Amino acid sequence: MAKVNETFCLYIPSKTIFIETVLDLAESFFKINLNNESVINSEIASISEAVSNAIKHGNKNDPGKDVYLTIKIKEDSVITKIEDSNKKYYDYLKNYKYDKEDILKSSGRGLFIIETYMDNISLKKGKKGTIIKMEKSLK
Amino acid sequence: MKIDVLTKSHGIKVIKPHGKIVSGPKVMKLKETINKLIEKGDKELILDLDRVPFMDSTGLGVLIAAYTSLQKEDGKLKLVHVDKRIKDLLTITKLLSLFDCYDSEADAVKNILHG
Repeated sequence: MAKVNETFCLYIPSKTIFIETVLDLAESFFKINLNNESVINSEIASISEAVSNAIKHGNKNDPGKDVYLTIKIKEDSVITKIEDSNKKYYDYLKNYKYDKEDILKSSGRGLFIIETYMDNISLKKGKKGTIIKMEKSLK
Repeated sequence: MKIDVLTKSHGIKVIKPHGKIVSGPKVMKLKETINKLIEKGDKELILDLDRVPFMDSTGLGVLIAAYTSLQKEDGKLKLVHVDKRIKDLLTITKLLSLFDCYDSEADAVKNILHG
């Protein structure tokens, strides 16, 4: 049974060394508030990719720039938002095309993985940077 | 990240990373470990993921780079003890077809030696 309206918020500086901690904290939050292993696995995989993209491509690994993560459990879905500090990253993401057939390329799969695991994703420019909003259905 | 490297029969190397393989210093350490083995002439590698509960797309990139380097040397990379999360990731990215996955190191060694 999901604990509706439970919320998780976290700011991190843009250093990849923090990604594992983000995943551990998010997974703990999900395990306490959501009894659904499949959804938890999808969320962790997607958060990992989105936070990594925000740090590396959005904020260009600048530790002076933050990445902001929020997770909200709703009655029928989980809403996760990740915001970087670079509004220009929005245009890159909006126009990004993933070539499914080029399986040997060494990078560039993050957004595709998020799209595969999530039921709906949207992009928008926030106050500070680019926000990726990910929605996973609980039904 | 702790990474053990063991030598099995016929010089086959088993690489055992411990912990999540995600973007950052840990994934770079795994990449360096694999690259050093390949540079030293090790062509038959087994990556034992028994202690790896999660891998992201950067980790997949390391696996692909290792696969590509070993292909050029007529070598092999086998995966052992692949967690469901990682297998799902390999499946959706169509990479599962590149890597032979085994339930035990013994099976992977047997396959390398006898095909």
